[in-house]
Amino acid sequence: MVETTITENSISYEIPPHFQGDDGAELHFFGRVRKEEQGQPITRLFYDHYEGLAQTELQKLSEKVASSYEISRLYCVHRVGLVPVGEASLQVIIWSPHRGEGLEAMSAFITQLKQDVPIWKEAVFTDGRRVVVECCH
Amino acid sequence: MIELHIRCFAQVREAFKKSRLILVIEEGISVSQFLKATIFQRVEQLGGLPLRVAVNQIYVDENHILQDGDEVALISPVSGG
Repeated sequence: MVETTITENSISYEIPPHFQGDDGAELHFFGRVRKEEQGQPITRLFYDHYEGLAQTELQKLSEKVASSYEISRLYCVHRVGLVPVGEASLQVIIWSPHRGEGLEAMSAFITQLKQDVPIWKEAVFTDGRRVVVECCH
Repeated sequence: MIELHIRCFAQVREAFKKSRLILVIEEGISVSQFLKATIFQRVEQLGGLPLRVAVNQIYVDENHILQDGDEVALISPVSGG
């Protein structure tokens, strides 16, 4: 089972009830907004996205990872719009019978997300400037 | 001539100073010809930027021929997560 969402709302740290299961491994990843970009303090990130294609690519990637790795379920929420420092912009939960496949799937999923899903971040610095951030992590 | 509805994001939006624009080009032009002749020539600062192109919400390759009324998204390197 795969479920993906792109939302402007805050990310909940709860597991959706219909995703509860009895797998041996349940891996949680949260990407949070750091307090600095390019060595300078920021107040928030602005996540721009290409509506439509971003959701399509996120769903397609999730399905590909779910079929390529021995995992049971994948749940992903990506936040867009303004996200303050310290808040989560990305939530990924993967369930798998054993940790190895789940960890590999998690790494592959996030790496590919940062290459294919048309979402961009802009740093909002404390002086109000907004600068497009090139992702290298 | 054909009319294209261009969507710009991130560095492309900064370069054009617009998120949407309409361009009129000749018929029978491929994505690579379009990028070379219309985008990179017009906006020098995009010259070195690796752009992917999506047409009507689907990623296409450089040989794809653009059609009248297409929505053409210029996708600079993404940075989600």
